Amino acid sequence: MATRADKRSSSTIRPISITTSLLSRDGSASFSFGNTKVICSVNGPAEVKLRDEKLDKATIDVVVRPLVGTPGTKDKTHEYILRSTFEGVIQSGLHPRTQIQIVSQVMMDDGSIIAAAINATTMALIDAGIPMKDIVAAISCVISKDDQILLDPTLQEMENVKSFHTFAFNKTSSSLLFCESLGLFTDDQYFNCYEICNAAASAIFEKMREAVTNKLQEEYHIES
Amino acid sequence: MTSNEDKMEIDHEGTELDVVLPGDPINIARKDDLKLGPGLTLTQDSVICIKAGLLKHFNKKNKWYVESNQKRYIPAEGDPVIGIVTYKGGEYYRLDIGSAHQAILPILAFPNVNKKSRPILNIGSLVYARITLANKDMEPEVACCNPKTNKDEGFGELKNGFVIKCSLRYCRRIISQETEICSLLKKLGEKHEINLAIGMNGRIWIRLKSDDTRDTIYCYDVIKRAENLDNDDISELINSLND
Repeated sequence: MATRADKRSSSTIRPISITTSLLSRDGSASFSFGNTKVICSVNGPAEVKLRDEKLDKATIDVVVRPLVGTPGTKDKTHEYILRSTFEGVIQSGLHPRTQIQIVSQVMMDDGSIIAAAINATTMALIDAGIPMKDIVAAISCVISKDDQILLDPTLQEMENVKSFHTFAFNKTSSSLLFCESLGLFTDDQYFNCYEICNAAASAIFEKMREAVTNKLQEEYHIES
Repeated sequence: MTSNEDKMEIDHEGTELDVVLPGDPINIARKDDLKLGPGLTLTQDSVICIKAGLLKHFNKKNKWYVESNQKRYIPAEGDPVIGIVTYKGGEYYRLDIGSAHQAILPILAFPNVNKKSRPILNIGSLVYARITLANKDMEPEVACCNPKTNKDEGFGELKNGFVIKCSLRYCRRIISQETEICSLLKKLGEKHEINLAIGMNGRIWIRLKSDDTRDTIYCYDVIKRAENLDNDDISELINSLND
């Protein structure tokens, strides 16, 4: 197996770190894959503007802020991806006529930004106590020029590849919630990517559970 | 009937935290007379968790709930809350209680009032009230009196004083009269005579009898500092107050 620039094997994720409650909003979290880092904040259920009000469910508003400059088309696409992924997971029917605002800010970009943003959003929603049916974890992979599948690519590895894939899974049934693929690939390659990413997602869920447990332990040693 | 039934509550002590995440299925052995509290929901025939926190249950009554902490207040009937008047109307006031919708305080929800003798509240006034109506599809309603006895029961306008904002869990801890926090407040009360109102919406109102700004800030600081401490550290804090 050819080694990568950072000496990882092809199916290893970069070190994950999760911090929660770092901002003064209702919920916030930062999620990083190595040098890729996204901070996400969640506010809600809060008052909603009259024109955005939905009578039977909460309005989910997503804002994606890029590393530098003002949001462009790419960021709008990311907003759409986050909204459509989380709309099905958040139990918005429990808080009708309110707004749940998700703001996601890219802190460091070293590849796999969408995956990091989805994972940060999951943690921030958990932190805010927004009712959810399930939680989401996302992971990216690329198929390199020599047909190797590289999990969790860095920015450098994302250059000159045959295709780039991002998958988001839910926890209970580990079924697909979102996927995006760019480039040329065969269906065999696609399903191989799917399998590898699905396995990697369960590792991310473990990290998420660990982060929540640590936070609760810190908070509740009081009561033991 | 199992022997466990005699125990009132299963305590999750030390590292034996029963941490649940949204989507986790909850194994409930007895289905009879099941009561689900916050953080749990019934889907078809299984119970799933919708909030991250600690799973707790009362064995005897078969009550289950998820204990968690959050900053945003969701109104619940019977909760005492501290609100700020934002609107004054002919029939009612509107209060900001920190939830998604502002609460309605009818002018007739005060003891001994009629249309002619309405309570005088201005925009910006603080009001301590109890939630009488909490429904996700309706605006929450609050009242400053008990309709059965027509007494204020301690509710009403809070004049002067100072509001401390804190997490919802801290308010719950104080209201449930957790011993260490109680002794901390008693300790503070020895030095300064304090009036205290605790809202379940993450607001604590304090007013010292002396109305001294320095002492008020001192009390605010002590109460705020205890928020993130465990019982041992609070005892330490109480001891440090002696000097």
